[in-house]
Amino acid sequence: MKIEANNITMIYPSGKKALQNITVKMESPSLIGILGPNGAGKTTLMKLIIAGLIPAKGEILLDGEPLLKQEKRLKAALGYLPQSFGLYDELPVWQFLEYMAALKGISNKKAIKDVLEQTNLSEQRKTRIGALSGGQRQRVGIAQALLGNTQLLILDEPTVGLDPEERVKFRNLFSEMAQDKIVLLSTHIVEDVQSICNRVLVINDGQIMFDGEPAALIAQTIGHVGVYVSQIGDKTPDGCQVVSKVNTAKGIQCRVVAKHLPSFAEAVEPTLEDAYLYCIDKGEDGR
Amino acid sequence: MSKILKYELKRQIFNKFFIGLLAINGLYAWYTLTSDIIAGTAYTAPFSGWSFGTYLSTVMPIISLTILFMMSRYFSKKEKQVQVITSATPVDPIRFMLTRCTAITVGFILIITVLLIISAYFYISFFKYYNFTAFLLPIIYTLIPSYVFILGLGILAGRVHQGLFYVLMLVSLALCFVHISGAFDFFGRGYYNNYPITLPVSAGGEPAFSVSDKFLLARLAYLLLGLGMLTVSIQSVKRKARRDSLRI
Repeated sequence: MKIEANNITMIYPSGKKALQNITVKMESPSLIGILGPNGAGKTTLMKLIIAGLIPAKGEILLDGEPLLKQEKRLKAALGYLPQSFGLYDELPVWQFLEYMAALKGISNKKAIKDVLEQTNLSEQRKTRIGALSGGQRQRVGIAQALLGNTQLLILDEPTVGLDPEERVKFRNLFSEMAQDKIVLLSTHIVEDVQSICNRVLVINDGQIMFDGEPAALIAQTIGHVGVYVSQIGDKTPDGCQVVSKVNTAKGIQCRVVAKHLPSFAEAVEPTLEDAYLYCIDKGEDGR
Repeated sequence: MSKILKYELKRQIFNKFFIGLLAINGLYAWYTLTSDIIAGTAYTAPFSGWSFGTYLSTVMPIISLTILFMMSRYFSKKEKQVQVITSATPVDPIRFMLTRCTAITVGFILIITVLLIISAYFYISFFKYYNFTAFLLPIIYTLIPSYVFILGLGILAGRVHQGLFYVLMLVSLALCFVHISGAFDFFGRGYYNNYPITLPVSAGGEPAFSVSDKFLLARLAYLLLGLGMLTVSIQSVKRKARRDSLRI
């Protein structure tokens, strides 16, 4: 499967420009992480790709054909977990998944059994959804997205509400699934992207700030991340963004990203989180 | 679609709200039969087509309320949150909507069946009356046009704004207490009460069940209007689904 979004601009009825002239190409197999602050345009991009929105300008192609002409084919191959969604509380887990399977045209009960096992919900299959915890509901959401022979898996904040152990399990599952399909993962958890994604898109203010391998994003941050020890009441140096503050015996050890590090800061190896913050910061400075 | 229908029926019919409303419908039907219909309508026997028509048109507002309640569940805020997921599936949205209309229609048929059984029990136990084929025309004239109109109006209203359901429910409830006469009486209660008085008495000692052309035209108009609203809703399904997303 190949998806191309060419020069996409999306303007909401309120007049807000959610995306501005974005071009992205995705081809299976790939696991793409989308990072960006709230309101950056991540969810809008995902909705455009599932044909839930029509762009104001530009075109989206699915295997070279306009997406809107291939909506049925797209949806037959799509697994979608939105950021915010509802479930039928009155139905038990199994029945809800059977209902979703029917909507997806899947009659094979094994498919339901498989996703229940993958999402660790086998024991709760007869439990009413209304009686599940937040994390378990999220897993039901993931289970319905995984149902069937999906070629395109779009997951918007999939690990929200999951405990650390579950989060690790799921991100490994997404990584396995990406071996033969496109998995698009939008998240605020940079660690998830660093662990499994072979490509990262950084979006801010409706524009793509970075598109490439996580290592490349990190590489462009070398020399822009540093640490120094400050005391209570000290001001953050101009142009620096504090990533973390750790209380030590010598004082507060600050980790900062900056275009030009202060002379007293010692440059350190950047992480993807540093690189992401630097990328956003740099973009905002440039405007 | 049969599995989808199975779950739509499970969600709509096998729940405490529907069972409760069905019980209210049944109790109101029995009350109507034993307090009003037992005395007959417009000087006709309690088992005349006119009296039976009056029975159906009296219970119809409560049935409408139940139907509107069922429909409102498909347009609730909670349902819209689930639609974020269901709209990403390859199911044909028109067939999906028609499946849901079928689920509501099955609910309507279930209510009607219960109310007809109650009335059959009433006529047999009180009057030893068994000629139920005489009730076929009042059933067709009273129930079908009103149901199709409410279904069409409800779906159209739901697509505009969920709050409109509450307005329609209030109107439906108000029609239980308002006495409207004339051919365009929506449920027909006033018509069944007044029109027979203007008719000559036949050999049976009371006016035969024969409605006016104007009444028939009015019923046909309600039926066609209902079908028209249903068609408009169906045609707008795909377009509206995408517009909804724009508002998110």
